[in-house]
Amino acid sequence: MVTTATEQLDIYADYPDDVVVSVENVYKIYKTNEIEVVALSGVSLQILEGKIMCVVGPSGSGKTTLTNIIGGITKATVGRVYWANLQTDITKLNERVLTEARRSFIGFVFQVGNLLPHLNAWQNVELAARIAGVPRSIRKERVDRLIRLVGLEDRKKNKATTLSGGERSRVAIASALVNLIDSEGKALVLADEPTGDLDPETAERILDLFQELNETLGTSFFIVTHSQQVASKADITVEIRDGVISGFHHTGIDLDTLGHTRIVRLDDTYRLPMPLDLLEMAGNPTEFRISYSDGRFILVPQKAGVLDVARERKARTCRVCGHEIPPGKFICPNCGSTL
Amino acid sequence: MSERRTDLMRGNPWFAPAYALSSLRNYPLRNMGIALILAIGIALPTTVFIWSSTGTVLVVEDYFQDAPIQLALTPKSGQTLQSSHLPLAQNFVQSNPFVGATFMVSSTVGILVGDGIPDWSSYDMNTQVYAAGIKDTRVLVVTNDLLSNLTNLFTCEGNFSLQSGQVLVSWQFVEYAHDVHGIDIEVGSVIGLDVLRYVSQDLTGTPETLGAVRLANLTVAGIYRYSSPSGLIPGLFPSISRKNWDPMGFSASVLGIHDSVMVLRDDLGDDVVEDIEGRGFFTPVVFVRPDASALLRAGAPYIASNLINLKTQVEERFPLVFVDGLRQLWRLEAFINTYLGSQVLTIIVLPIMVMSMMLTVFTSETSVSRRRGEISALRAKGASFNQVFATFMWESVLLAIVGLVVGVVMSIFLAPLVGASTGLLSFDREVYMEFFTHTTISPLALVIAAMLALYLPAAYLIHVARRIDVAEIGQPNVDEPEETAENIRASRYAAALGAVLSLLVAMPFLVVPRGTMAVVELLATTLILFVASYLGSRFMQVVTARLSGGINFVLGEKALYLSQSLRRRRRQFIPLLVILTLTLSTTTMMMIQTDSFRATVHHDIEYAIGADLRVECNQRPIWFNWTIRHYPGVLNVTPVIRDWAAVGSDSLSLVAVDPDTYLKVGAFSDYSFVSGTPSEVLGALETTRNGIVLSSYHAALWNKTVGDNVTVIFGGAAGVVGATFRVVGIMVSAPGFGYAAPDSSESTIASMFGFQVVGDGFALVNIDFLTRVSGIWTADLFLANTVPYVNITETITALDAMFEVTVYTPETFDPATRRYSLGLFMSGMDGLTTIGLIMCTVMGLASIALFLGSAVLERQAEYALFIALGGTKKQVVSMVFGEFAGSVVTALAISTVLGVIFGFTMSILSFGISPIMPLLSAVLSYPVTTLLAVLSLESIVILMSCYLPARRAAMTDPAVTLRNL
Repeated sequence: MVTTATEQLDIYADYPDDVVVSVENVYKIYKTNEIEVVALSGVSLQILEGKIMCVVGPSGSGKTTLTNIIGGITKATVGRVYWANLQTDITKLNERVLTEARRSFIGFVFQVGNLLPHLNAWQNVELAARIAGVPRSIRKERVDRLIRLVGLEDRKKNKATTLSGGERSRVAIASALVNLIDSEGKALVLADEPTGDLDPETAERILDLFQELNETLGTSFFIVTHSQQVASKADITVEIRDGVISGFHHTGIDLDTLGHTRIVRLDDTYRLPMPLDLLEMAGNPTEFRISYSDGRFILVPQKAGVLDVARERKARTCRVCGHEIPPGKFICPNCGSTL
Repeated sequence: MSERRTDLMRGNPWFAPAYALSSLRNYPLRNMGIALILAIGIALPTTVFIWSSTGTVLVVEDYFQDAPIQLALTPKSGQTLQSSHLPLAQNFVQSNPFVGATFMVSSTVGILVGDGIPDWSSYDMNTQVYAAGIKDTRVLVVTNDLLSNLTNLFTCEGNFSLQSGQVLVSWQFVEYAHDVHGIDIEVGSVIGLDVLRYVSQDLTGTPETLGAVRLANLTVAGIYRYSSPSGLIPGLFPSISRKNWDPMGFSASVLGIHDSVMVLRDDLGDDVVEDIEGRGFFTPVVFVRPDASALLRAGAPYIASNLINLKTQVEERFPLVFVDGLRQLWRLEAFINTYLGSQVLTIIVLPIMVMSMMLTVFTSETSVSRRRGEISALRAKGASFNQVFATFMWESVLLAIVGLVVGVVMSIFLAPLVGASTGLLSFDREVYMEFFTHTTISPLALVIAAMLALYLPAAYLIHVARRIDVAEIGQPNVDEPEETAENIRASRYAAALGAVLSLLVAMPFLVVPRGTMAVVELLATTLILFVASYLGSRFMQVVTARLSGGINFVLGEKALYLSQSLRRRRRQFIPLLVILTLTLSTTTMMMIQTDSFRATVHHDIEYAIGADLRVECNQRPIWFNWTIRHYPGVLNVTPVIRDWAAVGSDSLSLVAVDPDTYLKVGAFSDYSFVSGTPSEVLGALETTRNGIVLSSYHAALWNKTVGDNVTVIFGGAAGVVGATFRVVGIMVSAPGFGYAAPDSSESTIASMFGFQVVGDGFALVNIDFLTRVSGIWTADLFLANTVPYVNITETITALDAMFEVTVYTPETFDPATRRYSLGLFMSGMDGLTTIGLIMCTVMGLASIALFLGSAVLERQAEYALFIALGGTKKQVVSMVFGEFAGSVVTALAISTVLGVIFGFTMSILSFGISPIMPLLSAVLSYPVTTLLAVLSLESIVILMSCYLPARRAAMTDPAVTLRNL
């Protein structure tokens, strides 16, 4: 069921039309047993219509949390998450509206597939449409089309448990797309390690499928991955480390040579993340002298810290007797006069 | 900037029920298991309710079928139909909702006429009319509707219905007619009647003055005899005692219901009937037939009060109408109350009920927790929290409905079993069918069943609320955290178990179980049963794990697997062990309880009857004992004289026996005498001619002890006599006479069957002394013993055949047939035990299917690995079966111990809620053979059912299972 409502206040009108999701200065803090863990710290990014965005980063860097926040599964502690279909900040919406809006806007693909073992491939694809209340005739047409698109016509009657890993992934992708297929580009598939348990050859086929769907349907993809293979297919790759975006890359990155393609971006408070690999090469300096000339920013690592310099105390001369007063003393050891 | 748009997909409102249905279809075994277990919980109380309501309906229907006419209205003496306002009273009664029909029956005198019978010219009712060649009779004016209501009150040769031109005659009328006219009237004979419309002042007159209407050529349709024990109808149509032949001769009863004929109202015509009603020889009677169904609808407990209300209303409103009837109503009331009271028996099956509810929680939790992945998948596909929640709730509601229907259907089949049980595992097929065809389900039973069914959605609600996390997306479909092997000491559980069991055994001795206290203690016992089963299971789990580790030489490679498995898989095995332990313990406990109840009743009956033979008769000379002694098989006989007596202002009874013989014949118990053994006390009574054995109550009341004297006055043949007795013993009770103290409980076997000496207690005295002092030489009770192992059936038959002699023996005395309430209770206990055994077995099987089925599913990877490593299918079956069978054997071992201990306590407690209280202590009886048979059968069935999951484990295909690891 599709309804249209008009927002009263137009504070999100500044977004360009091709932004599908925009994350702005998002913080996520988990609190368990009185210990606070900052999973995301001031993350901002935009996902563009019809583009594939990949997120890479070590385990625990906040990739999955970011995915869940984009998908509206987890609420950000601070910050805004803009969805193009609602044209509003979803962090303020209640669970019901969010779920209803998500159905035609976001699709999920997980490493574990999330298929129901007692349903066959066709039924698994159909399930999301049934939940959303898509009329039977439209549903059937969509599922048949998707099953064809993912190349599973011969296996559509097979139970999920009897499918191979690649086939399961394809079912999961089709299932994620079943409500988005008619959304004319304004939709997003969030994929968390979609090829994690597949061999390179099958993974390649799945990625080709992503690209094909991306091109034919105009759907945006946001893919969390560790895989070079996946990252190489992205339009934009986002590096994330310790809850902070540490860099952006244009298409076709090589995970081994990230230093050459990385673009860092100022965050909302003009802070710039420093890439760890470059820091390591420079001996992990903590302070830099920054200057600008000839159209370049020049960063020169500093050997002594600002505080160390400030801390350095000098010996002074007594104005009365001219004797040297040692650093840190305020009374002349010779004449006893106060500094 | 694009047009501002919000696309919301509201969701499919029918998704939840549709998905719930498909989910139920996809896991049929698991879901049917849950529904079946719930159904058992629902079926047990429902069975008791259906049994009691069906039983109530049956007794009410039987009662109203045996005596359809419960009330009768007649004008009071001296009143006529009109002056008494009888027609108004009839209308008033008819308008009562509890009245099915009313019939005005008028009657007058008729005179037999016909071929060969001389015509009569004058009639005087009070003279010797038979000698005058007149056979008069009472003519009842009836309708076929009335006759159909009276069918059960009469036995009839021929038809008990009339067509125009037919007549029904009484058997005595036929006899008298033969005497007067020498004619033989048979069915099909043709007779004539002159029906007298008017009565004259002096009951005499001619055919004209008496308004005779001739009904000629009446064919006799049937010859009836009034056969009901109810005295209502004979009282309404009373006979008169008349010298029929000779003014100096004997009187005979005439013109009553026994000497009557019945003719159709239509054959006489309305005018004639009106004359008879207003001016006939006898005043008319209005019969009132209550509407049994309307009374039942208003509630069985109120039947008596509703009818009594009706009677009172008529009496108050129509003071000139005499209302008769409802004389046997107490009988109906007693039956109904017995049935309603027997609902307390539900408590016997309480452990099984709680067990099923507990199992429902376990299984539903397993069912929900195994589906975290499914929830995650649904959430990922856009299902809202409410949709996921509703899916589970729909599933539980559908399962609850299935459980409710199955439970009620089960109850419909099981309830007749309670009513028809004649012993453990035996029942009367005819009674079963009678109950079955009359099955009545009270709304209360359905409400309770529905409430119990709601338990499942409630359990789901809690589990789902706990299990569904909105952030739970991207979870795998299977996640079973490995449990670590626990290292605990068995002694902790053993100590706790010992403490709990000690409390259990001590409980009935610390607090006397009677009435409400018994119910409370039964509830506490049920609770302890669960605690003990848990502790016992944990104890046995640890012990078995340790033992199996220590007997490698027997188990081989299975030993390690078994010992580790038992230690590690607490979540799977503990609930299963507890359920199996509970199942088997309850089986054992219920069988011991039922058998002990029967044994105690039998023991009490032996004591109440007092001897091998108890001969009750009219007053006979005391040497009638010699007559009895001459019958084959009889050894010793003591006459018993029961006499009234008083000590000061306290009255009591004196029971005089021959002490020496009484010692030989009496079925003494350790609880009989408190001052010594029976032989010491009765020996002292034998040697002390004026000895007396007082009850401990009287001894305390009069401050007497052994050796003291007590002056007693008592009844003699020629008046009151007095004598001084020497106290030779103190007693609590005596075999054959019941409690010696006056506060004897009315619910003992002895008092229930009239074996208790009634009055204010009794004392035993020497018969020689009493006869000599009182001059009483007759007795109406004789106690005898017989030669052991000799068949004395013929002796009993011969004695019983004597005039006014009744013989009781413990072997032939059946309390169930003599006392409805006790019979009902015993049949209820037997029936519920049988049902309990069936339910326990079903539950054991269902829990094995559920727990082991899911255990095998969860551990498929393990079996696949085992096979991949080179294990054969046979080895897998042997390993898995050994592991599962180990649990069953463990449960069997602990449950036998628990069952025996709980059986002991429950046996004592069950008397607390029964309609009788044993005079002696409860007898603990172990039906060893039945117990062994039932337990072995149950164990074999359960063990065999372990084979199926083991076989399924062996069917694991490592190629499929391990591929997806």
